[in-house]
Amino acid sequence: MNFVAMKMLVGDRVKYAGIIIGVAIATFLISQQLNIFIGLMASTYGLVTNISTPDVWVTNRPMQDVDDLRPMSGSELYRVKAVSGVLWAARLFRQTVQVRLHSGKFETCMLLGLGDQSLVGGPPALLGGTRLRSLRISHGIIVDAAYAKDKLQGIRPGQAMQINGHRAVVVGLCRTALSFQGLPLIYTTYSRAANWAPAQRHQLAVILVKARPGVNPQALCGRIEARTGLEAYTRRGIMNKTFWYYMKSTGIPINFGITISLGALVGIAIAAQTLYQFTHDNLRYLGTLKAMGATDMVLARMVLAQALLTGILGFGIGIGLSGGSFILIMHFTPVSQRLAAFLPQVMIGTGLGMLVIVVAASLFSLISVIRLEPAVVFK
Amino acid sequence: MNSSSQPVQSPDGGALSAAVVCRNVEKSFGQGNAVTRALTGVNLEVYAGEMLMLVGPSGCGKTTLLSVIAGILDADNGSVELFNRPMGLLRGAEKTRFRGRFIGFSFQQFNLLPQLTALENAGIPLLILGWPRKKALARAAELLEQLGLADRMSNFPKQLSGGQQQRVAFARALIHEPKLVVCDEPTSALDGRTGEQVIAALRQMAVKPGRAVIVVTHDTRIFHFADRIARMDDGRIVDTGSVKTMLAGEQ
Ligand SMILES: Nc1ncnc2c1ncn2[C@@H]1O[C@H](COP(=O)(O)OP(=O)(O)O)[C@@H](O)[C@H]1O
Ligand SMILES: [Mg+2]
Repeated sequence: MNFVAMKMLVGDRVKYAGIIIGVAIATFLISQQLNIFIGLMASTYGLVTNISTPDVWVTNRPMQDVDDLRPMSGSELYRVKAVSGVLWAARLFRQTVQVRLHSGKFETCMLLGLGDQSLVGGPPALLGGTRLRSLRISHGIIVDAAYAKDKLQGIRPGQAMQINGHRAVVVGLCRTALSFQGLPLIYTTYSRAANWAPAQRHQLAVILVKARPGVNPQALCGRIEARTGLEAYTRRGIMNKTFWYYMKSTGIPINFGITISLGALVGIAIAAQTLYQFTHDNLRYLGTLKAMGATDMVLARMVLAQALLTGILGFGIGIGLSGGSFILIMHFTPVSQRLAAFLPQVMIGTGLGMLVIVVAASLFSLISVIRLEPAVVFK
Repeated sequence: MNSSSQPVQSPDGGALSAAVVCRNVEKSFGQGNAVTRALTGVNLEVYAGEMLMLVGPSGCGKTTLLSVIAGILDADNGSVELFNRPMGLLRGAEKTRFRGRFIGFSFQQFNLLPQLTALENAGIPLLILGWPRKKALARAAELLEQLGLADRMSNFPKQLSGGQQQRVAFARALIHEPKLVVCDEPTSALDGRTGEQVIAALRQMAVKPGRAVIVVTHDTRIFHFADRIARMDDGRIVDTGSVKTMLAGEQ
């Protein structure tokens, strides 16, 4: 009887398309909003993503989130190094600077200075044969390739810019994750960065620590805090702290919560309603089948098969749209606005969600099928 | 009251096996002041091998009785036996499967599935019984051919005339060789000539030894196809007999 179910569905082109479009819209709205939300929240700890190597981050207290770093005295580095279980500890300089491009245009950028010797904390991905140690070339900086193209006006390796009036030369390109402020990242050495930036009493933003092999980073954090009075976080820990700071103290979760729920609601209403309507419109024929000997189980399987077929097709189209729009966003919007993500988890989650919705809608419509007096067929 | 194991006496005295036995069947709709007593104590036998026409004025309970006999509506009181089997004992899915196995339906509005072709519609009862699609459709094709629809098999119901749709409905009612065929007003949507043609076709294909056919109608032009006629009024059978006696009685 699945054959009959499929014929009933596919033969009714308008309703068939309607249900698929409903499911597709729901899938698109939900997955799109979730992806943007997750992309946005991931950008809040973009700095952690972009400083790729350390196990432990040591900051001056108090800190709300990873962009709220209070500089500390340079001597803290030696105290951290002395804690047992620390394999190495390196300084990180972090400050916004004014960059003057060759056209004369100014651009605000985030300058990151990596420990001179170790160069620990480099970008997550280096591009086009770039080596981190090229930073040792005088005036050397590494910039994000996407930012180099747009905000930094197409600057290429070998070309120069002015950072706070100091000459800086691009020695390589990298790829970084989007951070919340959307500022282009410029990587250089710690001492060069300290030299370029306006003088401040303390310039050490964060101490990056690698644990000795076999040392639990969480336990190491405890020892560092006890020994130094500073705050220490595992990589995951500082990401979480930042994430929850934004969740709790900004309007982002509420606004997105509303958008996602509205999107979900609209999509679900369309999908569930069209599916329910389809069964409802076919009650006379389902009743006919029931009179002719199709049991409730058989009818239930038919209705579920119809729901699954439209659900899968609609989901496929919706996810396709979502992926397509992600590609468009990545292609056409400035890098600092590329908040979208396209995560397999969201895809799976949305898929399961849609499955629940179409099955629920068809089960709901089944109530009327089961209650159906087959005698209606003689009316 | 007749016991189900005893052969029922036919009007001409021979022992015929009863396909349907209704005893004091009552059925009401609604409650309180709005109650409609659709069947007020129906007693009726339908014999295997005959075509019985159930006739009577509109609203007298013909469709209700047909629904109760076919097991798609439960009687409030009384008993219905199909082939010696008390319908009252069948429940839920068991009863549904019983219908699928033993009863063929032709509905007043045909109720052909609009998204399925004539061929597929005719094959449905076999699909319900679990036949493979190919075999079911092959059998449907044979039947439609016999009903003169060889060139209409891949048409959808709305592409067919009323008479053609009724033939498809007959094919669907007969394809699984049911022991009881019930037809509600098969000619009501057809002009007189077409009506006679489709009933002739039904008579030819459906009436067989061991099978009972009940046709609800008030179309006097087709009465002469019946073996017997049962006249209903006000929710009960008032008269049964041959076409001749009944037509004589009408005058
Ligand atoms: N589902 C129902 N609910 C309420 N009343 C009904 C229902 N079905 C039939 N009736 C009533 O029962 C009576 C008999 O109806 P029906 O069997 O359809 O008559 P017929 O087929 O002879 O025209 C009518 O008065 C009709 O209005
Ligand atoms: Mg009627």
